[in-house]
Amino acid sequence: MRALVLYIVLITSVATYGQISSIKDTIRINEVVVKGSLLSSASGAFKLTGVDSSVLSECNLGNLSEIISYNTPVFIKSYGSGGTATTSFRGTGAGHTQLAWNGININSPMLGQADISLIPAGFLDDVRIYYGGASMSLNCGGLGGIINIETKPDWKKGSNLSVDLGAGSFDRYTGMIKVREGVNNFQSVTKAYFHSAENDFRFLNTVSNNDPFYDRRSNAQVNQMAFQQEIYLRGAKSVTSARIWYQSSKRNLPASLLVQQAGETESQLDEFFRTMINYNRYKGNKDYDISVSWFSDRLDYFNPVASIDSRNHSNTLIARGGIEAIPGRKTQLKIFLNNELNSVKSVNYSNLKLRNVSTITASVRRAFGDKAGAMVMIQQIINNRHLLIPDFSSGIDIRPVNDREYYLKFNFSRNSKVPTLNDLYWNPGGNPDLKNEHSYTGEVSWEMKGNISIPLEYSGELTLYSNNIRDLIQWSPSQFSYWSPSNISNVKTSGLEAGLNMTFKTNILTIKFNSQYALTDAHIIKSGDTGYLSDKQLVYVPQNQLNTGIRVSYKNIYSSWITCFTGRRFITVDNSQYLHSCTLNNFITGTRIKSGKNSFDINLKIDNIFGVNYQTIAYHPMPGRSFLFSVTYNLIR
Amino acid sequence: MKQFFFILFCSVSILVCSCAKNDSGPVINDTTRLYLNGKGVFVLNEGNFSAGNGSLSFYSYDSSKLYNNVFYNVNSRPLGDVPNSMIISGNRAYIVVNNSGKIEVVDKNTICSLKTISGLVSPRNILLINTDKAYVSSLYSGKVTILNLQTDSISGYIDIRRSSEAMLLKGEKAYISCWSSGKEIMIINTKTDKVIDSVEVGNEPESMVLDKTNRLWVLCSGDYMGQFDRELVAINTTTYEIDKRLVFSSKNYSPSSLQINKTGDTIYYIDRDIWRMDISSSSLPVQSLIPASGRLYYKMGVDPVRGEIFVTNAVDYQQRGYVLRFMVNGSLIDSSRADIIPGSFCFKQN
Repeated sequence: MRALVLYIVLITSVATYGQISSIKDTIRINEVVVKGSLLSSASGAFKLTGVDSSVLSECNLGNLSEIISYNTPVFIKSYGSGGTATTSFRGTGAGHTQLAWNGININSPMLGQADISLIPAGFLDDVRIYYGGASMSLNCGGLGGIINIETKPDWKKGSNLSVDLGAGSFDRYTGMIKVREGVNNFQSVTKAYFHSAENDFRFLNTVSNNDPFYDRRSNAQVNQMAFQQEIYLRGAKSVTSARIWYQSSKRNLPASLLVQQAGETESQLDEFFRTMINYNRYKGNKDYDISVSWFSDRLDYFNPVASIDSRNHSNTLIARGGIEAIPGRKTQLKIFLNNELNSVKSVNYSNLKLRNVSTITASVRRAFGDKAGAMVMIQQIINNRHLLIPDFSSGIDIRPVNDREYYLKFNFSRNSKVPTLNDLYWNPGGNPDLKNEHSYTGEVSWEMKGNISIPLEYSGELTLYSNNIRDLIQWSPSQFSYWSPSNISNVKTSGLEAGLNMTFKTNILTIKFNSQYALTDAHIIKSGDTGYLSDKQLVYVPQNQLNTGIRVSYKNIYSSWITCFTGRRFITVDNSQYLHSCTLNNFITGTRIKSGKNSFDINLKIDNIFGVNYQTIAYHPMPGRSFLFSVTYNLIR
Repeated sequence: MKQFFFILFCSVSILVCSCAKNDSGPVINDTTRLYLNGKGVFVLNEGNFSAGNGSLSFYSYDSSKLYNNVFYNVNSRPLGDVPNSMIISGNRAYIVVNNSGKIEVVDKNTICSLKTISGLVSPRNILLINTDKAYVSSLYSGKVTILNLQTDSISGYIDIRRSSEAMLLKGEKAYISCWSSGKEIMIINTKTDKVIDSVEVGNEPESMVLDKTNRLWVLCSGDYMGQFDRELVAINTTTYEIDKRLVFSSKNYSPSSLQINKTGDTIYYIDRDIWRMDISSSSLPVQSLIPASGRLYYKMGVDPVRGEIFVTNAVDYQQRGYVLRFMVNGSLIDSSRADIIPGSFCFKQN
């Protein structure tokens, strides 16, 4: 609460400071475009944020989970180093977040979620987060939101070689090579990545004996390798691209502290091969876009003690096409079709399962002068030839003050999500009679950005939302000692999100400050025949979350300090048990040395600098203080 | 420069205000006092699989109250993941914690931890053979573990090559049911710890009782696919022949938790409702003793001295469940809020 009050005071003080400044000085538009965290008017009436490019570069050898957890209000549920990590948007479950690669859904069709700890950060050129109804502009099913990871061409003539090698605590060795070669109308980008770690970190064990003692994590080894190739071809009015992405991750799965693993231990293999071809053509006021993607995903889980050899293989073919037109200066029309065909072969299904989900989305946006705009979107899902009730989204954005980039936004959406194939066909327990989940989301937000003075820019936003999810699918134990899903709950999540970004920039000094706060209230409003827990917060949804970072760059030296506060998380539905709140601090420092066409970047990263003993999931310890030392060599020709 | 300090002020303010106490482990709210010295019933709350929220409750006959989180309150650490069964031997109690692969040895009157026996593969139930020896069944290993109760350590294994679940002692023979994907009752000589015979019953024998005529009653819960019959089978423990086989009319549910009264002439089981049957009956009862009435009956126990019937209501397997206490005629005595998925009972007679 203390943090919330101070945070609101800070945001208010920024606005006030800006007003004083505007009286004294004329605000001039800065020539330099700073890639901030807020895309503001580009998102119309919806909330859409990005991750600062400096954040991506400092996490080059990390993964998407680290980027999201340290720089956004999205909560990451992680089983620790090397373990799976899933997202929780605004109190929703992991299955309500979609992970998209250049706009194409890459969630597992079986699980309906993605393990974002397996996405190498160095493979990403941009990360954009679509909150609530904003996700419908990309695809259906993101009841919480969509994280879109993007790879983009850099239309520069010449070549670029980048070799990044790192070594750190817990026998962590990692590296990445990037090669870019291109001319004005052709670009080739090749990336290769490896990562291995023992993850045998020391932690305070408070549950295995009556007296706490220092223990060492075991069976948490991870070995990962990945390869990505991108080719871009630019015509007079078109861009054609082709991408492939192969990745293999073998890891042992450490057990809960309360589970004493006897004999051989659990392990998992995640392997995928993804391809994507995209053609984009712009002619006059029309923009055509077509893409075809094919993904092959393998997920094998082994538990020798329980004699489980779970082998699962899915193939996904996604065709997507759309047209965007601006018939008048004030009207924008957009229509696109997305067709996703899934084929899954699993030892956990009785036979091969096929599913085809088509989505047709049409939207119109109209500007009313310079001060307002409105948008309406209709989305129709066809699930295996069955028409679902159409979804919709609508919003209004208002620019209340002339010459100021202040925006007031309202939107309301209905969004649907079809059950996952595991929900339908898992043997035992799958329920083929499940209904689709759907949500009603309302959102009000205030965004602003500008200059307090010439070297100091700011942007900020405050969002209030309410999300009501109907027919929530939940797995629960059934009569026959196995779990089964059913549409048993209605869940309401509501809350507040606030963000503040400031950049102070001179020729030799750059200071970037960013902070996000999320207040999340999430509870069940109906649960089968026995629902009477309406006043209880959903498990593993922190009510308070705050991330703050300051990044300073002076000449060739740079440093970052990132603080993440995660509030109390309840671990039982009646809220009788919980995990303490925790504050983690990370520090990054480095220097860039340039010599002609060669440059070096020497970097030291210290995570959890104060060695806080904490857990994100109960009885799964997280690492204490850890180091990663890396050297990056760049050659530009 | 003023702006520079302004940014620094913002940063430091937020970094400072976000400081909070950092403790790692989960916190379990409970302020109850312990009343363990009298007679009562231990209740093993299984908790959710892999969530580590299993716990121990104690129903005191003296106060007619249920006390939760007994193990945690005494030992300041959680009991483990899916506590499944418990026995008392002398002044010691043995709590089998299934997914933690361990047995907690505690003082029966204080629940103070005395020792933790680890290294077990998915242990399920524990059977007291004598004051020196106990058997522990296993869901996955195919072996029954032998415990030395003098040293509280594993002294050996009996390879039955099958999953093991319920166990029952009669004289020098132990009867062990092969529940998961099994259909046998293994018979073991407790002096030699060797398998001496086996009897094929119905699919997935889940629980067993011995009646006053020395017949072994076995409740077979069928299978989740609904392919096999659910059966109640009586075995002659002298000839090992099946004396009676009663087949349930429906495969929609999975009968469980077979119990017997203190005189050994009436058996009870859960099949959505609570059912009672005289051992001389030639057919299954058609009228339940205690209807479910919206409750989700999970496990049952019958006090071997007082005869009262204890039943757990798991509610939705997620929120805290209830322990219901009934008289022999099925009338409710009281109901108490336990913890998540209250399961097996262990009766403490002194």
